[in-house]
Amino acid sequence: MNDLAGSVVGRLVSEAEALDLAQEFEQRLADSSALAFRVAYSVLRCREDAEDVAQEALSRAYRNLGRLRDRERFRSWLVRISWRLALDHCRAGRRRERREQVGADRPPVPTAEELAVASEFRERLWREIDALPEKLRIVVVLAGIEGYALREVAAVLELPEGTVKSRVHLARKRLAERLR
Amino acid sequence: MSRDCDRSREALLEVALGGEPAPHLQAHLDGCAPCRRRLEDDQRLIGRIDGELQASLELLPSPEFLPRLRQRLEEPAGASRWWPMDRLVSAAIVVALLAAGFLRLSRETVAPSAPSRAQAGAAPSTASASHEPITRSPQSHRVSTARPRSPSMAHRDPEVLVPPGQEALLRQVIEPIRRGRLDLASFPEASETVPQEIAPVVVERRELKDLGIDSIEIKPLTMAPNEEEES
Repeated sequence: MNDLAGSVVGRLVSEAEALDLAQEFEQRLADSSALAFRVAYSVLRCREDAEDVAQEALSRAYRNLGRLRDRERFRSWLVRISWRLALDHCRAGRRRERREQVGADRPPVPTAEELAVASEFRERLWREIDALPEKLRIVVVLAGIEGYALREVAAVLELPEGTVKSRVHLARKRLAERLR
Repeated sequence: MSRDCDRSREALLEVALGGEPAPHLQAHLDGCAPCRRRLEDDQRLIGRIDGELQASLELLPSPEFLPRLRQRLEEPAGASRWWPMDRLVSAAIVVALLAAGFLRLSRETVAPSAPSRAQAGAAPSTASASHEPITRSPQSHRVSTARPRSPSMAHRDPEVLVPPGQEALLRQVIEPIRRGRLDLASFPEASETVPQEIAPVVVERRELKDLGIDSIEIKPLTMAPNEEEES
């Protein structure tokens, strides 16, 4: 009898915990889905592939949320999952050859000439970003995502703010030297 | 363009990235229009890099993203869209292991094993004889007692030495054990006494000779006084 009661209580507790996790995840989803998508997009630069990777990253995060002891680290955890999955996706050669135009989701620039120039600059910029060492690359990408709020980037990457600041500085300097 | 302009090029980029110009650089900038323009160009470039990067990443996933994700999360854990790759990798590993095992087995099957040597009545090899200190009769036969489950086990079969002529009898006992059933009643020979030829012990006749000792005198042991002190 005690065993039966214990198993029922245990099942109820585990179901309640699962429900809590699901609710917690749902609360984080709106903010986190954009973050995962942008991180993946910064590597893949293809909307569809970035969405696939972000879906996979969020799915893994959801299924392993119970294992994450410090829930405050959720964003950094998700960024790492998304970044790794996107790199794997790239390396596995599953990225589509047809890349989207980087500026396709932006408001169009006034003239065709300006559009061409802007597009060319973006392509060069991303080529140089791709050529950066990984530790500089992720920092500059996250700085772009977070609007250059270095504290946020430091929190996401779990690095000292000074380290992030110097890496962002070095990355921007290298990009400027190559794009001069 | 002066030498100062060349030297200040690196420093100008640092200023464009938000650094404060050193006094001598500021003095140079105050008097050098090309360097001021270069600084402005660098500042514009940095701003453009930052702006483009932010603009490129201001994207939001499509409206179908969240419904699709929620639907996916409701699926069982094993139904991941990426599962085929995981399974393919696992299957490839299993196939590789099976192939390696098959190759090993086929190699060992080709090599001669201990039981086959015993059946052929071959003499013991010098390699195995060197491991055993017992001196063997050249007529002794090796009989494997282990069940030959697989060729990989064959080289580890224990071997026993049996007298000449008893090999067939021992095999009659071992074979049922190998097959997993031992019924002594069905092997009456196993309980029968095997006749043995015992060679007669030949003892040579010895002649006893007198040593020539007449009598032995027995005296009590005594010690001198100074020997007692020393001890």
